[in-house]
Amino acid sequence: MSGLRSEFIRNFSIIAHIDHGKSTLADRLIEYTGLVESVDIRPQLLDDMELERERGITIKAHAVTMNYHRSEGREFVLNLIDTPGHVDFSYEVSRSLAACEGAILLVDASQGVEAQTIANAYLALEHDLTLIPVMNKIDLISARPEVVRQQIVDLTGCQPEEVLSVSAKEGTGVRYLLDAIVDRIPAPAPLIEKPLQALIFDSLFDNYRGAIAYVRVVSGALKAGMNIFFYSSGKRYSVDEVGLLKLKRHPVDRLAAGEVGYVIPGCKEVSETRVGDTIGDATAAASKPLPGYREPKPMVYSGLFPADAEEYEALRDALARLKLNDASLQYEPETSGSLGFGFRCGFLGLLHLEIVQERLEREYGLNLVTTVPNVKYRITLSDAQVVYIDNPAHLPPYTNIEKMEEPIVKAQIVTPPDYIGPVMQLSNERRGLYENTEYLDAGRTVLHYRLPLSEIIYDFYDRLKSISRGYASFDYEHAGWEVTTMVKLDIMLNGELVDALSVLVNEDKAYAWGRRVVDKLAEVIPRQMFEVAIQAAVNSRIIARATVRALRKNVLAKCYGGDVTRKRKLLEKQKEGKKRMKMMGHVEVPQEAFLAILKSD
Amino acid sequence: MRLDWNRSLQYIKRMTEFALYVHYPFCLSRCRYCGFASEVHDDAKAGHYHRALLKEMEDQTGKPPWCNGRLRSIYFGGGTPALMPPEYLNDIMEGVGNRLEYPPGIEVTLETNPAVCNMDNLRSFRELGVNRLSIGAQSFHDPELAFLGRIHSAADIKSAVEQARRAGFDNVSLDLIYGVPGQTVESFRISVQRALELKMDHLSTYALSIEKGTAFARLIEAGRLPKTDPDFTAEQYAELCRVMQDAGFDHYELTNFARPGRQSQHNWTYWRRIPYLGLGTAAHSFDGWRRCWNTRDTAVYIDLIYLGKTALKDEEVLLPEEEIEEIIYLGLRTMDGVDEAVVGEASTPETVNELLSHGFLIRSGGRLHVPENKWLLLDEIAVRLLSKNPSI
Ligand SMILES: Nc1nc2c(ncn2[C@@H]2O[C@H](COP(=O)(O)OP(=O)(O)O)[C@@H](O)[C@H]2O)c(=O)[nH]1
Ligand code: SF4
Repeated sequence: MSGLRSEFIRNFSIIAHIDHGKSTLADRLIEYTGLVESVDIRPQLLDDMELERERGITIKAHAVTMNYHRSEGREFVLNLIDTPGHVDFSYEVSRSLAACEGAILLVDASQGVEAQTIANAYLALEHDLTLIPVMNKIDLISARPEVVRQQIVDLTGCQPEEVLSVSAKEGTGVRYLLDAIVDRIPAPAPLIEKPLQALIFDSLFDNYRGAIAYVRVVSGALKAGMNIFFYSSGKRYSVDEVGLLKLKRHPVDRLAAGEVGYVIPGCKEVSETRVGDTIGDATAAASKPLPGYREPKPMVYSGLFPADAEEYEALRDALARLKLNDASLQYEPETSGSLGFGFRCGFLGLLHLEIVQERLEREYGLNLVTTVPNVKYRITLSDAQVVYIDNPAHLPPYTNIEKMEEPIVKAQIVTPPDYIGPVMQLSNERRGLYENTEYLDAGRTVLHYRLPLSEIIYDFYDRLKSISRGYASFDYEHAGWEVTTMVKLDIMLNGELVDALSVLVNEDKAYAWGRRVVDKLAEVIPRQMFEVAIQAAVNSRIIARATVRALRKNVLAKCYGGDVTRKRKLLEKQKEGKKRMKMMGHVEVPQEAFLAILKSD
Repeated sequence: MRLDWNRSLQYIKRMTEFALYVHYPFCLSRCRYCGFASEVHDDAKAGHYHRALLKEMEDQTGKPPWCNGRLRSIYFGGGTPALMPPEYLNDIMEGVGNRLEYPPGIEVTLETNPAVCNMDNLRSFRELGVNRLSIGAQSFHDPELAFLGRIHSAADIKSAVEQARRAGFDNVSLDLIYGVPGQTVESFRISVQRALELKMDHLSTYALSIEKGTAFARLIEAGRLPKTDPDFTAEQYAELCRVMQDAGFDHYELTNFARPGRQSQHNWTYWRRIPYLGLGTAAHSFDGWRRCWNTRDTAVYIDLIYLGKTALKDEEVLLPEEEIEEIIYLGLRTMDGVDEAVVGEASTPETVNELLSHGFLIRSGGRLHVPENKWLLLDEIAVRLLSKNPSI
């Protein structure tokens, strides 16, 4: 049964900087509300993809419905809507927050407020959510509750006494938190009498059931068997099943306004059930969709090629299957002179790229070569036509370009004052435009910068961590376009252009990039039977070069007794090794070369 | 692996000639780079080993395929087989003579260490039928020898060769090592020249490779010894080729040089994939079809043989395409090269032509060879050839 009165429902998220204990707290809440016995609780129940567990971050949002007994006669339904923990998925975060009335702002009591805490708090406030500020890990000796409480007060403008203290690890304070969720977070508006509007905040693909949408019913009710339609596509379906998200799917007759659950509309593709879209009643008079829907917008593009040309079909099929589950993944066929047939793919960010690549390799057994990722550029041609370029190979001739623009982000970098110098230096190197500094307290400052997206997609985060001994943190949101001058930097191996290694770089950085790539390639390209000349060129002008000297010895020079087997095995191994190589301009380039170029030292 | 018994039977019936390898796994002390199956000599253990060896010989030579074949060469390798009391060698030669067809005049080689050579044992070995002596000289510089952990001096090499001549050996081979840290191109050339001054008939060279578990491997791991530098080794090799050519030796295999008429018959068995029977610790056998090898642990070897079992550690049978690859790979190690038709079965004409045009292969009389100055790239060349990769 469902369709309970909205005053007994609370919908909330937990927002936190990575590692501040969001997953641990979610597990405790699930345990305390009796959804599972603590004995067989699997750590971090909400992160259910293997990859997510390995990386320790929530990639996709999930939700869970819990029952909580506040006091005699007062049973509440608490819907915890998890949010992805990475900026690549900030749109998904915003949709999850839009499905809530409140959020727990969780801050590690020893670490204090960090960049993601700030970004998420702003986001929650933008969505008008009621924040419950919570300090976690108060069991730690290194916890600094007074300092951190003040940081939270400064950030959110709450009263010091409103800040709760918990230890998600030991369970301390979790009951008070549950009470606070009921007492402080408003109940959803009672809109059951209005026409149906349900917000899709996540969707996934099930091999047996097809697309499954996770929804928050905002108004009206969603019933099994009813006819619905999706606002973005206008497509109509008849609902197979609706239900609640306990640890497993739990079918019910209907989901009423205020409730959170799933819908199985009987459609084959998740591209039908788009995050942010609104589900309406196909039979009711046209109403308006909920605000905030946006087409998934890739930010980072890269070419994916099968290492073995024979695997092209397999790659195409695998991408099609991934796409079923990941509407934000975009791809189209691409042909490269050096890598053959593959796909140009668009991703939400570099993490998204890495996840897709890893899934293709792990779940589909493919062996891939990934080209240097780049952002999309907006180019105004001499004839005033505007084109978008996401592939260096498609850059129009410079003479035809009137104006070139690149995507910009607004970044918040939180750092102890000691590292302000290095952080500013790094941001300047990345063509950052300083805006202002805020002081959270004596131990923390926030630097605001405008940065080109292209400058942060590679290794900005790693560098930031290393120059600040791990203390600085960083988050950003997209902030439009700015004029820039990018040039196409080409790499040649023994005089032959290797199109797969071409990149678009800022004019001022072409020389440094060229030097770096050439040196990296010289490091990773193994010596071969002849000398390899590596050159970087802009506009056919060579700006950097390096050589890999010819190999002089590669043989097991003594054969002991009749041990021919050892030789053969060695040869087999070398033959295997060659399979991880790509021939480019007659030069063997290891697949790792593409990745190595991205990593700075 | 699926065993093809018909193929096996063919080989067993067809067995005509084979070589015999006898391993003696004892040395006076271990050299610091040694990754061979050897251990420090111990009289009692050597006695047990000898009896096990005789038993293994009896077992093996009494049954097919070996009982059907004729010997073409015998090789006593090690370790230091010259440490064997001549009676042991006598037992083995007698056993061989009794069981196998043993044409007169076939090559019988014994490996020795300059430190264990004396007129007495050399004379005995010669009388027992050994007609070729392979002396582990390694270097003619005492500091290099000491660094390698060899127990002999340069002077010992000279006297060993002289004694060998006096004992009646007209076929003497020397071993030299290069690619040794601290060695130079010059010092190696001098060693080669000193060897030539001794008028040896044959030279085997060994590019030092760092084997797991050796003293050298530990030193390198601890950062106390530089890694061997392949470029430096290649320079030494080039110098070696030059000097040996001037001296009129045939460079008949990647690592072996011989005066005309003095190529080692036994060595050729390996490159030509002629069958061989290996007896003793770590010995490998090949019957033309199946390759198998004994345990590397001498104590285990002795026990297994005493228990009436074989000492086999493992075996392999190549698939037909693997066999062709091996024929090519081994053939290219030699000055004979390989038949172009055979290469055609495992590679493509484009690949062959590409390698020819860049001078990594030469063609003559329907055969393909790797030129001397590219021999050290053999693995690279073979991999390209066998992976049918036309673009170099
Ligand atoms: N000492 C202590 N450790 C905690 C507490 N909560 C979480 N942790 C640890 O902090 C780390 C990060 O927690 P996790 O829940 O994965 O963080 P998330 O990235 O925010 O999901 C894990 O090692 C947890 O065991 C706490 O209350 N006390
Ligand atoms: S003489 Fe040969 S087998 Fe013996 S220890 Fe030295 S290298 Fe090893």
